Amino acid sequence: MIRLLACGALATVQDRGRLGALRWGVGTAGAMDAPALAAGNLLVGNADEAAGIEVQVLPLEIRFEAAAAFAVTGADCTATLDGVLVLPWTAARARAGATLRLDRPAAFRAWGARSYLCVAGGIDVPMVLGSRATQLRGAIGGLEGRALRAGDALPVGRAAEGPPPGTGLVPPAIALPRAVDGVPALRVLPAAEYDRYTTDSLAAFWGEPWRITPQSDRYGFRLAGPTLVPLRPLELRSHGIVPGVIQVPHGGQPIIQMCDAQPSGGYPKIGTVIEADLWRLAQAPIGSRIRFVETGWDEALAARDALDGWLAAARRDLSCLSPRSAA
Amino acid sequence: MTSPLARIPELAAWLAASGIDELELRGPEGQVRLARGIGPSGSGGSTAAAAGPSPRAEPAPGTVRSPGVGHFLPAHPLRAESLVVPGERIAAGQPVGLLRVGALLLTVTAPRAGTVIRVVAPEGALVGYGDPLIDVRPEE
Repeated sequence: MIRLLACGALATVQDRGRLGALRWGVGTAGAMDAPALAAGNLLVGNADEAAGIEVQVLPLEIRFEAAAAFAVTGADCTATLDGVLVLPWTAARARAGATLRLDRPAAFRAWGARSYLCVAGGIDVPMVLGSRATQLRGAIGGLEGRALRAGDALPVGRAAEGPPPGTGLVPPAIALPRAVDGVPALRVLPAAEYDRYTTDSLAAFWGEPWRITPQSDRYGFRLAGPTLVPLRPLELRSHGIVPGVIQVPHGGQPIIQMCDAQPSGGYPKIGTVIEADLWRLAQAPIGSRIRFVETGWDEALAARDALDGWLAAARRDLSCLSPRSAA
Repeated sequence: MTSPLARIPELAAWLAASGIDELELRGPEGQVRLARGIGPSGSGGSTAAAAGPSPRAEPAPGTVRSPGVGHFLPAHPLRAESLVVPGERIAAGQPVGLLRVGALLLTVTAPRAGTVIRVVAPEGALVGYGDPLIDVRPEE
């Protein structure tokens, strides 16, 4: 069991998502930066479906009620275990009673917006529709369907043996960087209403950077930039939408649907951020800027293969360190 | 399971292809050391020395040496600042650098407390087992 001693707003239990429930109108939820959670689970010897804690506002402080291996991945933060520095994206071990603190990083501009704490055995909250992911809108999953707060006790599942402490992984931000003019570049497939916008709007959509506004969260990212103008007013019936869909409301400032998006909406869709780049978007802090780069189906699938390849290489190289788990 | 000795030709081929001079593997059954051209026999070509105590001398006190083969990084790639800087006091077990090996980033820790004199290995340099990484003046 771990106990939260201090906790910023909107920290939630997340796993890789409630996949397969869209047919009941239940969104996926799950970790905004799925590769970071997957890496954390690998580093502590967890199964792929194990849940960790997604941390959006620092500091977070927990006490390990029992000895456990853990790893902090995702956005860089200053992690200390009983006051001793813990490296990011690296397996570490806590004795029973140890306190882990995640603080705002010392650097003014550190990478990322969401950190993940994975504990060997996983956060063992009850499964709801096949997942432990917290979905705040429906108040399901996670711990009582809500964000975590100080005083909460979280059960930890049975741990398997993981890599030795001091073993880390190269983050995908380093292994698979993508930026244009120093700004994260997200690959986007044109969507159903793409050709219903003016030529100038489409040129601006691809050509100009977009700022992540403070009205951005796990539900969706609202962007600020050039106004996108339709050729004529668009009225649509509500239809199914998924994380990554870029909608354009009447004001002409786009919204990108994220993990807690509702499964349907009626705004026109100008594009869709490809699955392989959603983690990059998830790690773009409020106030930062992003760019859109046009891509096609084949490139989108190749990008997913590259991300899967990064995880497969991590899994393979870690198994070389733990021969027993590889046998 | 096949004997690790059966893989020596394969390992030797990797060494030749990679430009690494020396490879040492340790496991519960013993250890294997492969060296190119600088073997204990002094002969050219690959030399294998199996299942014996390590012929390598203990590292000189105060120097942090590489625990394995990889590319040395003085800072975590997500961060600009090096883990240690000259003049800094370090504790035994403190992370002082990283080795990048394929998808892995392995933490290099200080074997004992002391004061950092200088970082010897260049950033990104391919280092082998026992190569000096950081000069440290050990504490009395």
